[in-house]
Amino acid sequence: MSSASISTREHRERTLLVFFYVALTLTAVIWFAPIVMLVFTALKSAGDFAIHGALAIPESIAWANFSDAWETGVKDYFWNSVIIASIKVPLGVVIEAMAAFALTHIPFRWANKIFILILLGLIVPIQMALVPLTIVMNALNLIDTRTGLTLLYLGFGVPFGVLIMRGFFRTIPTELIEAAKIDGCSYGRIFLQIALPLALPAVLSLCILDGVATWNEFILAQIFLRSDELRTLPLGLVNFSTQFSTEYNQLAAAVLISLVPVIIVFLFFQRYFVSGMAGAVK
Amino acid sequence: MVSAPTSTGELRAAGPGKRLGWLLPWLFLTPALTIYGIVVVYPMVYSAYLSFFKWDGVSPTKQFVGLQNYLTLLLNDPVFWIALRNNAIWLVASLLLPTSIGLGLAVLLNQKFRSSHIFRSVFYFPAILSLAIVGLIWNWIYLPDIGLINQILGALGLTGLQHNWLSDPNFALYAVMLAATWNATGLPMLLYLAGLQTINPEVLEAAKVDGAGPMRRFFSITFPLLRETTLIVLAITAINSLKVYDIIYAMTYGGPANQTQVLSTWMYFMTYNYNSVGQGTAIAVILFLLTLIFAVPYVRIMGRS
Amino acid sequence: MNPIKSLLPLVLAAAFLGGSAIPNANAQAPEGLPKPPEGKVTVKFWAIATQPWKEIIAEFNKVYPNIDIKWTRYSTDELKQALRVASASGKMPDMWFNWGGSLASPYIEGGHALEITPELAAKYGLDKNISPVALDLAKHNGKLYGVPIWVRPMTIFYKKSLFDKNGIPEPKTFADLEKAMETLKSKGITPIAVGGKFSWMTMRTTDFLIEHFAGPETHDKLFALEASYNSPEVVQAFAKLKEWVDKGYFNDGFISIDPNQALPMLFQDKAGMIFQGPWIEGENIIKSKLDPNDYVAIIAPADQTPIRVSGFQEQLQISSKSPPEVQQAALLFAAYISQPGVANKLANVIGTPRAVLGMEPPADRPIATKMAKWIGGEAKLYLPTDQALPQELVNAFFQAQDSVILGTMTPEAAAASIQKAVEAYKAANK
Repeated sequence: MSSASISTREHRERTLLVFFYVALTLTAVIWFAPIVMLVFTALKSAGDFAIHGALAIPESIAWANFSDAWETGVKDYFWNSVIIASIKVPLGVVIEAMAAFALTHIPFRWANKIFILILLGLIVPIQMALVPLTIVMNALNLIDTRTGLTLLYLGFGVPFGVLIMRGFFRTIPTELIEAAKIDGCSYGRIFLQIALPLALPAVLSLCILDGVATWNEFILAQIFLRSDELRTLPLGLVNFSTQFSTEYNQLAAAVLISLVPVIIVFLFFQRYFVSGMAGAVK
Repeated sequence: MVSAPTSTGELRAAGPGKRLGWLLPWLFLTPALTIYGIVVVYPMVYSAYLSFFKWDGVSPTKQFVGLQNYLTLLLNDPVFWIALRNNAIWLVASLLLPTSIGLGLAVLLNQKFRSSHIFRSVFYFPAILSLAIVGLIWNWIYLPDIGLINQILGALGLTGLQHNWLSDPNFALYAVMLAATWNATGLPMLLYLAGLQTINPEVLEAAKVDGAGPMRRFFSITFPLLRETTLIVLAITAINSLKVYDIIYAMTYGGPANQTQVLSTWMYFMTYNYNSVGQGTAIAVILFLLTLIFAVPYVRIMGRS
Repeated sequence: MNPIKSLLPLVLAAAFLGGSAIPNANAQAPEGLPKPPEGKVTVKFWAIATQPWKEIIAEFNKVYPNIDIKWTRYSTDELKQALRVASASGKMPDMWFNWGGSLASPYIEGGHALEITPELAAKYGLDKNISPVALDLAKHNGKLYGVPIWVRPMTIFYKKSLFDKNGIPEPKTFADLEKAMETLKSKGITPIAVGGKFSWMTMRTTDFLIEHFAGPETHDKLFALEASYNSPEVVQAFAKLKEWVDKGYFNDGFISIDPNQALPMLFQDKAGMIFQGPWIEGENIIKSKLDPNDYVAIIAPADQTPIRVSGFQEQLQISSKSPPEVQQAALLFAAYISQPGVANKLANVIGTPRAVLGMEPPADRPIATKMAKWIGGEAKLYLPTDQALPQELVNAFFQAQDSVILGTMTPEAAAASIQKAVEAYKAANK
């Protein structure tokens, strides 16, 4: 092929690429616009939103919205969500990793059937389980307790967690495990000293996904928590939106505050994200 | 790849825990399985049991009615069919939109250019929002007077296109779907990015040298190599889309006039608004069975080692 | 030295002398009420978040310091749901707020609510202090299962300054009402603000139209499932609803708007009227530092006799399964705030109209004052549909109502669909 035709083809490919990336940037801007709107709204004073419309830049920055929102409700619910998430997520990852390890590297007869049973849990709509769950939780005296809610979150988190961890554990070569067994390691030690460390990306991805899901969980919290002192953040936000229905600025501030931990966790762990998910897609 | 051996003879040959050999996997499994059993399995079974009764959820007595709840739903409840139809629409849209957009974004963002990280974060961001917040934000966007969409349409002079998006039964479901897609695209994008990592770049380089354009390279090489990823993306998307609840509840409450009901919201209404636990759980069982149809191929593939 | 030991003789002396070392205890122990239970009692209490229970409980505790009322706050839908979940799991609170009609009946029929027998009512002074109108609305099959606290007429509020500015007189007849709406519309003001997302706010208008076209007697028969919904009067009501929708008398896209967003439209002069209840005086108007005199309540002019207005009572129900001391404590609370003296003192806090007889509504609450007169005899009350009909039928009603608004059902088809559901319900519950 002549060098002239190669360079025109390259030239064409490059313009195509440029076109795509312009489109990408434009899409990103539109994609992010609702968040921008949210931030602007949170910074506006009370009348500003109604008068000047959604995307207008705030006239003056009303930082008071954030402190107001924090004081009038967010702060109580914030810590409850933190407590529950920080207990549930590590605990969940541990029991799910243990189960996944057993299903992949400890040879026994029921492994497949149990895995299928666990996978079926992905299908169950939570609404289906609500009425029986209240009966169960009541029998265990766990209604309106943090323990009860944590238990619920643990249970519903098992299918996805086991799925991800299993996917990653399967990428660990059997030779490695066999070698350790021959050396006399117990399965426990193999799990703690070989499998888990190798699966760190998956563990971290699971922590992020699970943490975010727990932080955002609403319906179980709404039904199984009663006392004001125990309520989690999503419940608080809903309460907020009832009480401050048209005070969009305060509401937006409250929403933003609730996003801060999620954003922090996300930014911190995101580099592990893609490699962690690789296990799930193989 | 680990294969699960079928005889315990192999187990005895291995080193660790010879005597406790059979017990060992169960020790690892017990915590997860116990909690899972109590919280998920038992309620599932009990729900199915409740679907054969007539009960208002409050009184201490239940009345056995056999299959009547199911018959009423299928024969006498127009909203059930509306919900089913909406679930079907939602399913198809979910399988098409967030997945293909996610794929496109993943391919574009997989190139190593300087700001790819920023773009990735921008596009993934809506996925970390709770659906209640997504609903809240998009409710504002769809407000008739001061909502973002109508304001932009007005600014562009397209006042004829302004609508009451959430109160128009023709648009409401799609309006909610747009919001849901905004949130749902993140996960497929991420899964595809992970899948793309497994493709050897040299294959693509070779194709490029051979004269294949980007489109050819994508469709002939990249996409076929992403088959397993696609399967997982589709399965997870399908399962989640059949369970859709939060965002519809938050944005339209199933309305207007029950036109945006889906099976899980209608199930909730039945149980909690209309005092009919039997019918509510019957809907749940039907939904479970429907989802099972989509889950079976996925489960089989994943279960196959 | 042990401080308790040194105080003990003092306490004993004070008790012996007929007082108490604890300040203010039993300071104004009201007459006519039984003695409080001994020792510390905790009452778990569920009620709506926006209600002023904190101040009410504080007042109660001045006289009864050893009764701890723990108030858990809920939104309207959350409370309904929490009560159902609690009853299914057998963990009802000791005392809860509830509406009446078919919202309360499951708990009564399920045996969860304590029956307030005539003897109990007499013991706690409820027979003297609660108004007959309230008792009437609350009773279930002739028996009382809660203590009515509020009576809430629901009717049309109009913004006086807006009406005056546009030369619109206060509507006294149905025709007046329609004329007022037409004038408002022509001036670019939304005649009626509604938040129709959950259907119950729209229901207030629909109920009014049925009262107008069918009349009180037939309306009651409809509720009792004795008259057919598939009748010309009901069809006319739905047709009129559709007519108003088509004429733009409601705010744009109202059917998906949250109810909370309707009243602010009046605050901003964007709408002229709203179907609401007396709670907006304290919870919304005064709280937003606006003048309640500007929001005038009128009996929605149905042009019928007897003059009726939609309304309901709200009550405190007590768990039949709580220990006796807790029940007594709860009853004491309900009875205490129902005493006229206390009720008057708390009037501004609790909001009115109260179910209490012999209350003078406070001077700065014009809405409450006016409505107290209605309850006192100027008008009769009828329950709203979502309390008057069994909950299973409320669905059919809402669906019919909303479908008419959307135009997906004709008024005739809508009326027929409700009756079809009624027939199915009757057949299934023979």
